[in-house]
Amino acid sequence: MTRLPAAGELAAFSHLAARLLANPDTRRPGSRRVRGRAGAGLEYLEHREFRSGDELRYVDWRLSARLQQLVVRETQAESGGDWWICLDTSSSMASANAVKWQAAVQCAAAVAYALIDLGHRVGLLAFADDIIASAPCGRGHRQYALLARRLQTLVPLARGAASQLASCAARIHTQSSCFVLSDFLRADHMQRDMAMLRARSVDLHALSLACAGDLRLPLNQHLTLIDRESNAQLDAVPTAAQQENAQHAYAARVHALRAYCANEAIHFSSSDAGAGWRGALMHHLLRGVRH
Amino acid sequence: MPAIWWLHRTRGHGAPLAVASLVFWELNRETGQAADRAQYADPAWRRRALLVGLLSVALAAPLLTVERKRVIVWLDDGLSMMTREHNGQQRWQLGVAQVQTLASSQPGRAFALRTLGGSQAQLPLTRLSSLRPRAAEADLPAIGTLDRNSEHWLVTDGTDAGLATWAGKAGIARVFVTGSTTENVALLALAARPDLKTASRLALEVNVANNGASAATRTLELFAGKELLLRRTLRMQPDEVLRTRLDIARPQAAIEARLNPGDALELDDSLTLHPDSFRRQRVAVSANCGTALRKAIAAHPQYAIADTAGAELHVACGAAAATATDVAQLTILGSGNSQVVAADTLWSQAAIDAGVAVPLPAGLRAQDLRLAVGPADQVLLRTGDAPLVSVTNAKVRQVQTILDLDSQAVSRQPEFALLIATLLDTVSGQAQLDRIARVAVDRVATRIAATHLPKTTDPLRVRSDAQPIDITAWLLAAVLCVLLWDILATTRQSRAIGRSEVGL
Repeated sequence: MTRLPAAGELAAFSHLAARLLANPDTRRPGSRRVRGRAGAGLEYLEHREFRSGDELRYVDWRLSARLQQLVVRETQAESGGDWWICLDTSSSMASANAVKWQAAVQCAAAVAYALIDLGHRVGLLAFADDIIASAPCGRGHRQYALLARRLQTLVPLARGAASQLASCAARIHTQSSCFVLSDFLRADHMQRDMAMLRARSVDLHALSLACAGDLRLPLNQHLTLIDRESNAQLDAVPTAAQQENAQHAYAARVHALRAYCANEAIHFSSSDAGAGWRGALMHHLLRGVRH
Repeated sequence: MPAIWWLHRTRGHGAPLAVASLVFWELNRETGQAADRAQYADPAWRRRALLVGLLSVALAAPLLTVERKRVIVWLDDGLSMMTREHNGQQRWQLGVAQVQTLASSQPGRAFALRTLGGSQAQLPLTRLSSLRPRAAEADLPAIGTLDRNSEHWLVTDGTDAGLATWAGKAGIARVFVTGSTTENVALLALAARPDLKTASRLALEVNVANNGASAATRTLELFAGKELLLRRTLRMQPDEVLRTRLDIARPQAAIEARLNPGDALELDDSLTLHPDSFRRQRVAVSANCGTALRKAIAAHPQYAIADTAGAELHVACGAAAATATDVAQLTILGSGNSQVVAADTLWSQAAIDAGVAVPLPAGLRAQDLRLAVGPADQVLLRTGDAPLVSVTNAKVRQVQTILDLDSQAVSRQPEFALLIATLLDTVSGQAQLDRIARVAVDRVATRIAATHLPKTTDPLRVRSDAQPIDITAWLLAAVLCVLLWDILATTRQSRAIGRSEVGL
């Protein structure tokens, strides 16, 4: 069972997160402390192209007729938004003494606490090949307690569970925001899943947790490497040069993912899981959000 | 080796290790050393091959023959090596036998021989039998003269005080000590001095030393030829030196001192003075020489007038004195007319350096002649520019003078006899007036106790070293080490994989 951050630590982080999120850009849901009742806002924000998953009631039919394309009218939320924390429970999160998993669970708890403290509704989607656990959106400390209990009961499967972030897309509704915690180690960088999730969410955060142990193997020994997620096997004699190549490849992958996210307006950051949940989240707030 | 490699190449999968993603390692597969089973063998095959190789060699029971440097055997040739040991053999003989044993115990190894007091040339072992000890303590050679490319061994009796230090500095690899006797009473010196008042008598002195470690008693006997001159019992403490003095008539035969009974070092148990060393020099004086000159020569304790035959010195007088070619000669030239030499008569610097510048009689006269001085001659006495005495330093010394030695006024003065003695000494080339005949041995050389031994080596051990070494045990130890290494490496590998496998 993963030890969650103490209440004092969470409160301190929430206070700090609120200050960091006090951005003039009020269009981003979650950036303001909400005190009113729940519900969509009435104040006009902007028009944008219709995207798959948008509710039809937000289509501005008059403008769409004039422009000959579907346009959605966005309003500024005046109450707390819905946030989904998408937690990767695939087998890759269990590698290297599950350092990534422990950091991911603690980050999830801290994010949930901070968002609830800001007045948002927060839900949980734990995904692997499919959604393996979930908690509906809710508000208040009881909701945090529920999420915390749920988080503590989760464990990633040791073998055979792949990362299917797309499974989360079907579970969230538009006008929600997502905070994805994963190692993004799938071969396709999970870009297609990220695109689906981005299409259905108002705001998407992605925190990639890395672990140096994933790329450190016993050198010069005959090994049969087994992919935890796909169970694919590879006979190898890892050498120092190969290990260095693997590290370069991983850095290139993170760089590509960051570029993709910047292009898709996804708040992305990558942190070392060994640095702890506070370090990872502060880095994300300072770099991923403001990027 | 290929079989071992092949066995490791064709074995099954490597140790399973779960990783977060194969993507990064699959990328390596195209460019790096992939674990293609057709190309790959477990690196452990090298350890196993080493193990099998060592084991194979060990089972063959190999013998290791170490290539050794050439050996230079230093043989102590000091006098003490003549000491006779209890078994009747001299230390020198024992040392020679040791060298021969050492050489024969190491066939194929080059040996050379040097003696501590000998020349710097290295000798082959075949010359061993022709070498003999010297009558003095060994002179240790300079450290720098030792051949650095050779191994140096030393055979000694350890009596030289500087030997241990020398052996250490010279890098002597092995020292073999011969001899164990310690007691020796030595005749150190036998000297005969002519009695200055009575030319027919001699003063003898004999020095005897106890160089042993315990008190000793010896009988000292002095002989002149077969005539016993003295028999005395000497009781001496260790390191004590006794001097025995005796006045005897000058004998015609050799004087010999003996110690009875003899001891380990025979060489110092008797000393002999040859009669030539203490008898008077025979001087043949020509008939035309004056009486004063004859009397002066006869009065000299070390000169005696003799016939021409067998004379060692000739004294010739007259204007046309004949010059002997094979005997040193004093030629006193004469013209019949002489006159007193000037007051500025002086000995030359050469005469002063030679120690022949004696006080001259007053009123010294010289012949009315001009002394011919050749380029090889040396003027000893001159008056003004005129030479009075000259010497020819040829193979046979010739002294010429124009001094008038028949002058009555001069011959009555005591300086006259001194002048004649000086001229004769110049001819003979040696001051004879107080000539001491002496025969002696170095006291240090007569010490036979091994009190300065360097670190020694048992010759038997050397012989065993020379045998090829069986290295089977070493190889088996190496096999065990490699086996342990393989076990540890395999265990460590398993642990490393186990750590990587740790999940939730």
